[in-house]
Amino acid sequence: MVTSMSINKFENLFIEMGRIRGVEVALAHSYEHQMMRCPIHLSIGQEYWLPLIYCQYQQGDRFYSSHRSHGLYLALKGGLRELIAEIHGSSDGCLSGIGGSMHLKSIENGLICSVPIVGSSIALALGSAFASRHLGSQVLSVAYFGDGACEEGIFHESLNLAALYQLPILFICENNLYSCNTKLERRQPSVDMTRFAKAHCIDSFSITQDLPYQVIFDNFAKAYNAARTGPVFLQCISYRLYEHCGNREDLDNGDRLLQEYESMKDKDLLLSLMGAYPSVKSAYQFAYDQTMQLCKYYSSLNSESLLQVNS
Amino acid sequence: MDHTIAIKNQLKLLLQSSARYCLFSEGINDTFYGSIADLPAIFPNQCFELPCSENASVGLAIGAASVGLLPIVSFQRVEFALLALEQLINNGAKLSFLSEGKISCPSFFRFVIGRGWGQGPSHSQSLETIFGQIPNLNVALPVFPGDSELILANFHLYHSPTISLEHRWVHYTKRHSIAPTSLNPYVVRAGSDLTIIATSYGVVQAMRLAEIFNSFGISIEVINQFNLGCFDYCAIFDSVLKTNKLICIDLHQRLYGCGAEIISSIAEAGINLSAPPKRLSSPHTFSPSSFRMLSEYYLSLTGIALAVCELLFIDGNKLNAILAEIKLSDNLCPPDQPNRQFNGPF
Repeated sequence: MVTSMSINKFENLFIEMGRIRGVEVALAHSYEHQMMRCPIHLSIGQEYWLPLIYCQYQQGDRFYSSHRSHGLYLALKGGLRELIAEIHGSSDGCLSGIGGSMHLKSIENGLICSVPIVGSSIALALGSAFASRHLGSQVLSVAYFGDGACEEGIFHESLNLAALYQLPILFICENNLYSCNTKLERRQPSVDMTRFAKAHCIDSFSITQDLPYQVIFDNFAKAYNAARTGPVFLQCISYRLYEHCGNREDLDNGDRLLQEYESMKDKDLLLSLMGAYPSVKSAYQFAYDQTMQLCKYYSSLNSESLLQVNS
Repeated sequence: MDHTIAIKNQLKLLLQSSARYCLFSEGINDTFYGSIADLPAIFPNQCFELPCSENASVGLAIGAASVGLLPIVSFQRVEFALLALEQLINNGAKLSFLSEGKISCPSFFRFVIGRGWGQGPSHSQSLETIFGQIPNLNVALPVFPGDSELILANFHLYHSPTISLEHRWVHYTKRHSIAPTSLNPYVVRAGSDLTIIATSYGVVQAMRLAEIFNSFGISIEVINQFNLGCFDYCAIFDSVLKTNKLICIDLHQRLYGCGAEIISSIAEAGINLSAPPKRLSSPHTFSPSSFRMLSEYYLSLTGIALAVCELLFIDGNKLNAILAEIKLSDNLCPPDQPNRQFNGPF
């Protein structure tokens, strides 16, 4: 909840949210041309906590992401052109087109890798944290995954190992309530992911966009900094407004009901921020236009290559 | 000096050389067949106990290796590594590929292959071709101390994980006069009448057999395949061009096995053999537990000798004399023990 819309010290963070949303909406709009030729997993609706990462980030910190990595990539200031190029399979992409949308990487900005096998990158973050501790470095390792990953064995194994070795690792679990199109309630007996941290004697925090932004900011900062001395679990409850994979809103299949979707859309923080702050709206629009332009350029390259294939 | 002591000495050298080397094992103080005995006491800050979390442990090792550590992880049996195939294949084999070589994860995994003494169907598989099929995984099957020393000393140079499939029964091998200088297959015994290409304990069997045949004036060349990843076929091609006769021994299954790969490559190279090559292995099932049934499952020296005699047209009295000699060798030890000195349980 954004209490004061007029003067807010978090305005720069809201602007960043607008930028991330602008990029992702443009990706969704461009996707229909079928020129990316690559699956995309959008984070539209989930942006509220992403700008907090860069507030706490220290040079050298290492992030290990899941498949839904556009938001994290942008929040860590990964290059926009490299992102768009990568999704279009272009050799000037952040991974020269080898990785595509599901393996985004920006090593110089701290995004070490994204792995689209659910839970798989958590153990790499664990190893990174182990090395930090062993070599006496101050680097924080961050595992970023979703509620679906909490159903994987490797997640539980990793929490146990992190607690056992007291590793400097932050587990960020983005609980967006869905795994593909399946509701959390149909996959787990509780919707609270912090219960797993408690079971492994790991301190946990939880944030949701309904909280005052100061509280969100403080909890995130506390979790991030505490993790430098030992494992911490942070649950970011969010809501994904688009389908699991692709550019549409997924009301046609799966568990999501129109009523729920509409009520969440009404609560969309970005919409109210864009209404209240011209700066957020313009950041959104600028990012949207810039992304559309880049998509157009890389689409045209792909379309030329395809013509050559067909001829 | 036997193989386990050689491994221990090599590990000790590594741990001494840099704090980046770390040992991990479930039961770190249980000596791992003597191969890490005393090391946790000497290097307490580099030896770590693992919980029963194979997949995360392998992922931890790969992740740590990608930022500068040189982890060495031991699992008591290959089958436990099945729980960690996910990390080995999804991350270990791909980190370098998915970073255009900017990230490497030199790490070492010791997976032990059991045999006999009740190991049964869940403690005796080698599964080498499962690992061998994955691009970028280095998969070695050491036979002699020099094999293990080479891979341990050099794994830090590789950009991806090295898996050492250590047969429990090759832990007893003595130092061999010929040591490898690369991961390529190499001739461990020169001969001129027939080539046997084997891995792991199959090499030990082939060497014993070659010794017996030698006393009958028959010269068998034995090649230790050693590594299942990419390798140079020169030693193999040179050998079959010389002998024109080939037997491949598969440690695990012949279906899609090492023998199939080698024979295909020889055929692709256009090398003509003077007789159809043979592939030998255990039957396409699992090892039974009872020592009474073991000889029905494992390939015996007699089984290999019959194939050699068939390819070399040896029959009649000579065949019988050879088989009688081999039977003596086969009977030196019960079928579920590598040697008389072996004591259970593992």
